[in-house]
Amino acid sequence: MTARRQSRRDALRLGGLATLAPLLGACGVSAAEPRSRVLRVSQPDEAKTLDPQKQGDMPSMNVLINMFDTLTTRGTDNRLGPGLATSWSVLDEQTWRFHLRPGVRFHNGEPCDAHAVQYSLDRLRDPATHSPIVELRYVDGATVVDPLTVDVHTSKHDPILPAKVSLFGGVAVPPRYLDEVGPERFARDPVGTGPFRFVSWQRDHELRMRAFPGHWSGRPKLAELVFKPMPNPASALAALQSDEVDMVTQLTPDAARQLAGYGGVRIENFPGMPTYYLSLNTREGPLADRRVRQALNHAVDVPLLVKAVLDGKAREVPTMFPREANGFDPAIPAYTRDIRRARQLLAEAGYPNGLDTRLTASNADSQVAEAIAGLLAHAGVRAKVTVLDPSTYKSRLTSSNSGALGPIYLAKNTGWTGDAESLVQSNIRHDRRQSRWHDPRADRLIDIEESAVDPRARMRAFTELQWLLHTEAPFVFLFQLDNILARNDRPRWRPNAVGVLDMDSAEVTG
Amino acid sequence: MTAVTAKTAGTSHATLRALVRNKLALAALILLALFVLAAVFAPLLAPYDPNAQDLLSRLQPPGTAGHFLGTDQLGRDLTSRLIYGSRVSLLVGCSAALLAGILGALIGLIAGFRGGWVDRVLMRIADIQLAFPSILLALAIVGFLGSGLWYVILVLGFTGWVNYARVVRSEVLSLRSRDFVTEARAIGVRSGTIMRRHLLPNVLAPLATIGTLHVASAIVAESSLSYLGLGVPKTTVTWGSMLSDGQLYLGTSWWIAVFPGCALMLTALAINIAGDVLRDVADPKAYRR
Amino acid sequence: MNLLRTIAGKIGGALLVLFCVATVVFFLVRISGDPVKVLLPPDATVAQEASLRASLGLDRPLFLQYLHYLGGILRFDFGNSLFYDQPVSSVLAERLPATVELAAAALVIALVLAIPAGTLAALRRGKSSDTGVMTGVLIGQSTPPFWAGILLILVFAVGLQVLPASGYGGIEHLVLPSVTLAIYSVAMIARLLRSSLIDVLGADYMRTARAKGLGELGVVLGHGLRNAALPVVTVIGLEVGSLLGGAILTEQVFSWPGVGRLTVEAISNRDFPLVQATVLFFAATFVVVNLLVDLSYTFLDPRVRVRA
Repeated sequence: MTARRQSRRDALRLGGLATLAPLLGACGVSAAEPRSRVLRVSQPDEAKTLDPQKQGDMPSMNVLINMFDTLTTRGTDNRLGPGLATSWSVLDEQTWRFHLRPGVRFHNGEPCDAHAVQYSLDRLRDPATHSPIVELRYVDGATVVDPLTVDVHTSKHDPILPAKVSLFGGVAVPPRYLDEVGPERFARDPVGTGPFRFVSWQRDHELRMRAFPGHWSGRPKLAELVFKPMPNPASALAALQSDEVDMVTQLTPDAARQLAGYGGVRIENFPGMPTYYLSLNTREGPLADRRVRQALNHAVDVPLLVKAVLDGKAREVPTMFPREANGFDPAIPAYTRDIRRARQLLAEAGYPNGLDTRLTASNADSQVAEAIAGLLAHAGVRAKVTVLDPSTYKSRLTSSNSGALGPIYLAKNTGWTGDAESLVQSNIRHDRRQSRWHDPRADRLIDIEESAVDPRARMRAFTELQWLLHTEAPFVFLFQLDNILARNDRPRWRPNAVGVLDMDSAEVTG
Repeated sequence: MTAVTAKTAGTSHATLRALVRNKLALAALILLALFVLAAVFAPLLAPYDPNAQDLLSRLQPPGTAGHFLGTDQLGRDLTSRLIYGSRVSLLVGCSAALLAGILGALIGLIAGFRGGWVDRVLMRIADIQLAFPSILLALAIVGFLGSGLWYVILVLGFTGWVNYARVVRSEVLSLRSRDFVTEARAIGVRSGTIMRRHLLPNVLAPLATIGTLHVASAIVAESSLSYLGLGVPKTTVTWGSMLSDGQLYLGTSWWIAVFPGCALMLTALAINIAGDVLRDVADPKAYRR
Repeated sequence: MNLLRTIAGKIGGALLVLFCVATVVFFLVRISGDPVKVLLPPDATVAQEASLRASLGLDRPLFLQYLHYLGGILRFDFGNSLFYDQPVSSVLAERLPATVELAAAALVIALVLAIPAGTLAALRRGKSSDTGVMTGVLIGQSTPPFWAGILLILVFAVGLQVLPASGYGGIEHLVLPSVTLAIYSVAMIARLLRSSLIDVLGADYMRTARAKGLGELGVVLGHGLRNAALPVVTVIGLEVGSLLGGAILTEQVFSWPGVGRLTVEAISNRDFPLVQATVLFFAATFVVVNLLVDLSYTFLDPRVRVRA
């Protein structure tokens, strides 16, 4: 009895709010849940909404991936694997056929079948949904073949549709529940098929989920999963030390450095996909000269940048493809970092005294931008750094004026789908908005990889493209950033390269 | 500040005596003078280029050979950045306070003295201005015009005038019916003259108080804007941006934020103390005691 | 009768201010950027942007949007947040209690500290306790708010581990944010009370009061504070605005789930309806408080007559 009361108090303390007690009781959560099976995770930002089709930001995905399932999945080995769909195939150039997993049910008991998948795809494409998910741009609709088979139709062949539906484009939402309660209630009280079911959400404070025993992959090892937003690394560290959270995620190298060295705090970094590069305006000014662009690539000492500024928690990339992306060719070498060679190339191009330019970045990346400007200065390239708030940066990035961010800007690509296509879809082909390069060879290679039915033809195109990027240097290639987390001794978990906080496989001890 | 100093030139002798008597005030003024000197002679005083990076010796603690106050997250010399930072911070602080002070005093005087619909309209504008988060104004200006030093000064100046205006107005309201004003009116002195001769000297004390506060708060506000990416370009060193850069490193490398934070506090403190002394001297009522 | 007309006039004026704020914010927020660009990932196509813009009604003529917006305000309907895709009123209602709690706590702390400190300093003018109070005031005023907040976190949450670093819930979560938010106001109010009291203590009616044989404490409490309150109340009225505004930075540092953080978020997301609603909320709070301050002039200072 005493022990039980003790753990009940513990559970309340974990909740941080005595007022939650009746709520927990009402939801039927055993307040005596052993602490050993509760995992408390913090991330810097709060989820935007719990409607999986109305978000596309990392904090929301991190939460929702635990409550919802997608047609395909990307495991910790970064390979595409089955999800709600067990297999898929090309039926014809404009149709992908997905075979669904039998017996899957939503948390409310509603079956998740071909009809639900069709409903979900229709809802995603309905303009009234205001969905920010844009990957399924070629999808025209879906038809139910039988209760466990669904055909997805596209306006042109989409070779990586199965990879795209590993993201929230391929999420299944419950048709009956949505029709009953409407979208607003759904966003507050979501029902999915995922390994955890929703319990409660206090915005900006905490979101609680508990294990869904009926999940198709088996009961999760955790009993409860709690997400807490903590924008400030100092707060996150304090929370970790005072045992308010078990795991602090989505850390930057510098934030991780702040957490390192304290008793009971372990820092872990895992290979990550987010890839940084400098976009160069090759259409005018000195950057139109290939030698100048190559000089910049020789000048930016990426290994030094990684070692000194990123604490070694990143890896240099040869071009703009991260190693884990489908299409990466390890044969392509990185630029040698050589200031003398850089100065020589600049002199050949007619700039023996270096040149003055501007470098723009989002303020989230201001430190890297400043460090790059410092490295460029060694070669005589004097770049004035301007940082913008993320929204202004993004608006200018997607503006019809390709010079809106100045001659050089720091860009980042997350490569969500895991296929190289999504890394080069907006910034290479001359008619895409973020492209500032015009090379017919590159355009042709993009066309091949975006529409070839034969996967080997796509891979050859990617290899050729990487060589072309290497020689023409329309960008300055930088690094791919690790996924970094800090934890206490309890949790055991490993993210995939995309870094979404899928906690199905997590375990806790003690 | 400058307006106040000019107007109190007549009492400079008294100011000087008050300063000498008050050791704290003297210390504050000396400190302030040092900051101004540092700002003016920054290129001569700074041991390094404030933007010169040394990525291999970043986050060095104070006392490291060659770096008296240590280095920041990019291996830049903190002493040099602190010295150069005083330039922009003082410039932004003083210009914004001056702009806001002139604007606010003018509006407050007119509103309080004229009364009637003029007062109502001006105070409505003040209400509208106050009700607006200045960050929205800043975003709109930057989104429209671009970012830079002068935009920051404009934003801070145009969002800071209301405090001056409201306090000046409420002073004028209670002065308006005092004998020396009603008498001056009775003998036909023109309104402009009354405002300049009789009202302005009497509102200088609260103006000085707010002005001194505002210099400091404008310096701080600049740091908030820099933090949001709306401030001056990164190549221009400001205490504000040093402070927000250093915020992340407080746990392990406290010096990055603590030194500019201290510089900021000391400057504000010095200005505030000097302002207090000015207030006591400039306040005609203070003579009686 | 006359008084009623005055009050009605003031309320009318307040409504006019709110109308102007509503109008200015409508156009200003539309200058600051395009929400569709912020909502969609950079990989979206022009067609996808156009389709979202149309479904959000942002492609309609500006004037029609404005009329629609004004009509909505009259029915207390602020539309749907573009970012959250939920009614603005429910988004706002979710965050409101936290901000009210924080601002109220900070104001209480500010008054509890500032009134005794200011009075003490004025009575012992030039003595060491005055210097002490004024030094404290000056230091308080010279400390950047977010820096103060982070230092408090480091000392009390990371170092001593006696208070939580962030979060929302019990009283222990409220301490650090409300102290941080109060620091500036304490300094401001104490300083103003001091100088205002010094003026008042030298005034003729105070001498009369003393001559009547009232004790010094009685004089100060009975007459001094009341008369010194005028400028102080003005400042407190203004401070409610800056308290709510100052909540923005404090809420950011302490991850406090209030309207301040919501406003910053909304502005940075260019979430038009939400920005409009939060700005109007701040404006309404401010206008109401200052209306009350304005009316209280009548009772605090007989020299100021409310003009009809």
